[in-house]
Amino acid sequence: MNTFMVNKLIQKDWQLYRLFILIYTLLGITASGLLLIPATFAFHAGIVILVTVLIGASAHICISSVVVEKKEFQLSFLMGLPIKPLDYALSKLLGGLFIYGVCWLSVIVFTAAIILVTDLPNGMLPLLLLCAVELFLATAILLGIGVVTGSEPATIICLVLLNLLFNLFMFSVAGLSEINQYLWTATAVFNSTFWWIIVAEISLLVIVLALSIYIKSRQRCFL
Amino acid sequence: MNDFAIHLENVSKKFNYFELNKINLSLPKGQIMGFVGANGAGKSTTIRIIMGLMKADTGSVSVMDQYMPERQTQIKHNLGFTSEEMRLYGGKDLSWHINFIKSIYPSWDDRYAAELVERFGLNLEQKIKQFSKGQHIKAQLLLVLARKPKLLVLDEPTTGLDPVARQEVNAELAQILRDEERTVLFSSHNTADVEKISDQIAFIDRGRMIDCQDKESFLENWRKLQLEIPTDIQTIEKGAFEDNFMQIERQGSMAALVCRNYGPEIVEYLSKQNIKAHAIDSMTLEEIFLANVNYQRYGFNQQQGNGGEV
Repeated sequence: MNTFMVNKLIQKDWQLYRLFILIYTLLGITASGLLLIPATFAFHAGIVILVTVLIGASAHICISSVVVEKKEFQLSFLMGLPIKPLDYALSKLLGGLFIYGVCWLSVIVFTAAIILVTDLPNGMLPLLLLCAVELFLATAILLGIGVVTGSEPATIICLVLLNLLFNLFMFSVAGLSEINQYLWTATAVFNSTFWWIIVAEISLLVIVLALSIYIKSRQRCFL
Repeated sequence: MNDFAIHLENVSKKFNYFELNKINLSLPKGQIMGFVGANGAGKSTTIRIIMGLMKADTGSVSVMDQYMPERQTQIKHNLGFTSEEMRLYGGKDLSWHINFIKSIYPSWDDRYAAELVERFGLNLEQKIKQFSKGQHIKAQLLLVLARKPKLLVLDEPTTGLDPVARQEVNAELAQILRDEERTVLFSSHNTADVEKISDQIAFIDRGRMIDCQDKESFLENWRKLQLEIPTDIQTIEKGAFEDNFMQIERQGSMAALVCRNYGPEIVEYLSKQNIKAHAIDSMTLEEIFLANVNYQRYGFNQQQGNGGEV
């Protein structure tokens, strides 16, 4: 692995996408701010916008930095640099997660802070964290699919499926009695069910990254 | 260690509808090689293999004394590459691209870069998406040249450029010739560009290398003979010159015969058949290329001007 070049490529992507990340972060924070308004409509709108912004940021980073870069032949420019396919893949996987992570972490920390310091029930915190980690995992899967296949249709289909999966995940987890019964309580309860899901999500994240890196490590040439 | 910057030995690569067939290519260090072929001849595939972007099915590839693609990271430190399809980041300006490349290559020469910006008439603050195609190609060349690589591989650098931009790019490539330590391989289907600046010329057609020599040999060894052939002679006997006669175009008693490895003995041999040579003309690289391609594809075809067999 060429650490120097991986860093350079990550820095390059950061410079390319930091403005978008700032905008998504501000939108996410604004959406979280809606939770402060004591009205059901504002609360629901805040949640919907928050999820939309986090999914939008994920899709933007994954599709622009991987698929569009290839489609618009900027990858050809990078292929002439002293890198191997593995270096490129690492920069996209780690860099993509880092860049998305800036927005993701800022928005989630801000939302968590709003839940903790306002009258909103702290019991919402476990569900927020479970959903947040799921979105981060979905970003890793999307990046992995984009990097491994390099295919626009495959990445877009994956994006659609992951969005559907997120809804399924959110409602399924919220429906679990171990999570659901504490959702509207004043105290956040991080029980074993919560931790099991978190461990499963993180394990899956590690598997997705390891598998993508393994596949790309076997590729000696870009084309 | 050898004296070749690029050395390909029996390199083959098979696709569904195209095959690169046992390519042998050697480019000595310090030389400029023009790699000429029609669209789809295999130029870009060969260059991709040289660049380590694609792995050959068989054969060996050595670039700057190291094997490709195994040592691609090390090799690409001293190798500059541009291709016609390559694009820079449209939303960023040239200055951003310069800083990016400069941060990677310690050999980056700021003074030379500034000189090229001036010479190419580029604006550092202008976004790449606002560049014309010519400016875009010049920007790519600048990013490659200012890092001072020992080997330059340029895949169709002048394709799609207007005549003025093409002249400027060619002039810059010609300037590189002055640096005797730098080697250049550039592909083109524009034989005029190749003729102007190359030391070595390689012809490729339908995935096969059909000829490779230094430019002077091409221009000295190929001749077009304007002949007068008696009407009773239907076909010219090739005799010992089987490999020299490449192409003939005949209009009645007049004919133009293209010869490879021309020597005065050819005229003597023809005169023995009562065929007179009225003129012996030099050929342009384009004529040589076309004759070479036609010979490889169809063999020596004794055609009448109206297309009928003699």
